[in-house]
Amino acid sequence: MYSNVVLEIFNNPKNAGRISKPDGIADNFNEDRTAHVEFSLRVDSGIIVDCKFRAQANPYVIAICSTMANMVTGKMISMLFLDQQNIKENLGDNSDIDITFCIDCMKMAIQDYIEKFEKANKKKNEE
Amino acid sequence: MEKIYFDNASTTSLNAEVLNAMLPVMTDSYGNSESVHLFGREAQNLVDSARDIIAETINAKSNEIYFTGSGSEANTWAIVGVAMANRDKGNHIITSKIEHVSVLNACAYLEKNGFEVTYLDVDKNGFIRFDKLQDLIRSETLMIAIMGANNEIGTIQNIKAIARTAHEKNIIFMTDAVQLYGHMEIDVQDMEIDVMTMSAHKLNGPKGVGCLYLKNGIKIDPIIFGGNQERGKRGGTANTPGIVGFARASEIAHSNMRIFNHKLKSLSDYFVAKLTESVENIIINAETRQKLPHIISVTFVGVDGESLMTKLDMNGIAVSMGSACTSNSLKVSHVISAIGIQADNARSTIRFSFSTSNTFEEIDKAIAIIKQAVDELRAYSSTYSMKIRKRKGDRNV
Repeated sequence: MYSNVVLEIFNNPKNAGRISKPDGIADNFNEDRTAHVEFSLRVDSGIIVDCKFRAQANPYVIAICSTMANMVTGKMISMLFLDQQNIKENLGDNSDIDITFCIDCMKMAIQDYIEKFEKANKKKNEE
Repeated sequence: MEKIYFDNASTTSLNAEVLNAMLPVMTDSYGNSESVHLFGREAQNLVDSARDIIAETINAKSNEIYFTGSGSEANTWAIVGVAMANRDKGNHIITSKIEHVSVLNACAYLEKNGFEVTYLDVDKNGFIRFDKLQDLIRSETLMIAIMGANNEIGTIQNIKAIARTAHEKNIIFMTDAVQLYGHMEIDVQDMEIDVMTMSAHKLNGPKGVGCLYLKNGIKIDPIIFGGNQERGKRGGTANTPGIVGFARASEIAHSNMRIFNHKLKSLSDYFVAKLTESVENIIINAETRQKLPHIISVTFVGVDGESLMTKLDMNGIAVSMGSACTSNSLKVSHVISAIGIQADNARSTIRFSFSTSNTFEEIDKAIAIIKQAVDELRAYSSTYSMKIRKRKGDRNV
């Protein structure tokens, strides 16, 4: 059974949805392809000013995504530290469900932003 | 909050008449049925009468009925006990990929102990690949074990044809009839069944009592050792109230079978029609006429089944994802996988199972809640829009 904290976030997830024209976006399946998540980011001067998630996953993963989106908002990309323990502690429920695919997804969304940023910089320099 | 129970394939409520039959057995006829004194004899008479009643419902002899503590115990005993006792005939068993976990885990245990097990494929409606069965039979095959009706999708197998195929090669045929018993007439002689399992709590009987039918002449080893109970084959004091309740529940289920099935079919048909009308992009699984009338398996595209089940639970509606799935996991039901549903849709499947106590009003209320929950989950589903485009694309092809 899920803990009350998981159920509460699952029932009222924060940051659910997708940022339109995001600065960085990525999606990812878990290993068995039984859960899928997506993070989209708005970044300003290296700071994540908004993060939203979408998911087809169980209540625990949805609560994790909501927590992660909340955790990264307002943080500088260069200062981000994401690991399972840290995220689960922030949620307040240490389930044994592997959330590596969620962390990877966030990293991929940030990487997408970095690549877009570098590409835009390169274009600017060429001009 | 009104509570609505649509999980009757998991277990059913106890029928009041059944309870009334059981109560005096608990308070007055409390003797141990193995005791020789008058209290014991009274209990023994009750157990014998129950045995007669259950035997009659399946056209078996009374001495072919053995009471157990559950359907799972009966399945484990049937698989392990028959395999061990008939080792001289061979070490190969054929079963299917959609059996109940008690059968699958009993087979896994045998595999660790020198037996070989072949797991037969099923088609998209859950029917075993009968064409493949013949090819899988070997000279060492000692038993074919195929369930009567599936607990997750409701498909009813062609038991008689499978049994006949087994007997042509002198192979023992076993069927798990836990879901089927009480919903369809079973004649073990006509259907050529050698070993069969049943459970009381699936037909408004008490929990904690199951039953094994073992055709006279078929050898079985005990798996529960004890005294002389169940003619020396199954140790443990007989659960007299449970057994009496089982018999009464069987009588009620069998004498009302047509009426009950008609009501269940009406509820299921109404549910499917209303759900299809209210919620788009759903798939009704195992759409065959040869199925249990009360089990409906639905895939909600783009929605995680466990999340949907949790939302329904929070609103007082009890449904299930299937027996193999535990909460707080990302596992997929082995039955849903076996009927060919891809992993990313397999987790989107929910089982609704009705009883004659359910009403059309409950279905109306539940569908409004299901629609709202599905809309909420699809609003932030990361796969829904992609899958819908794919579905539309597939249809255009």
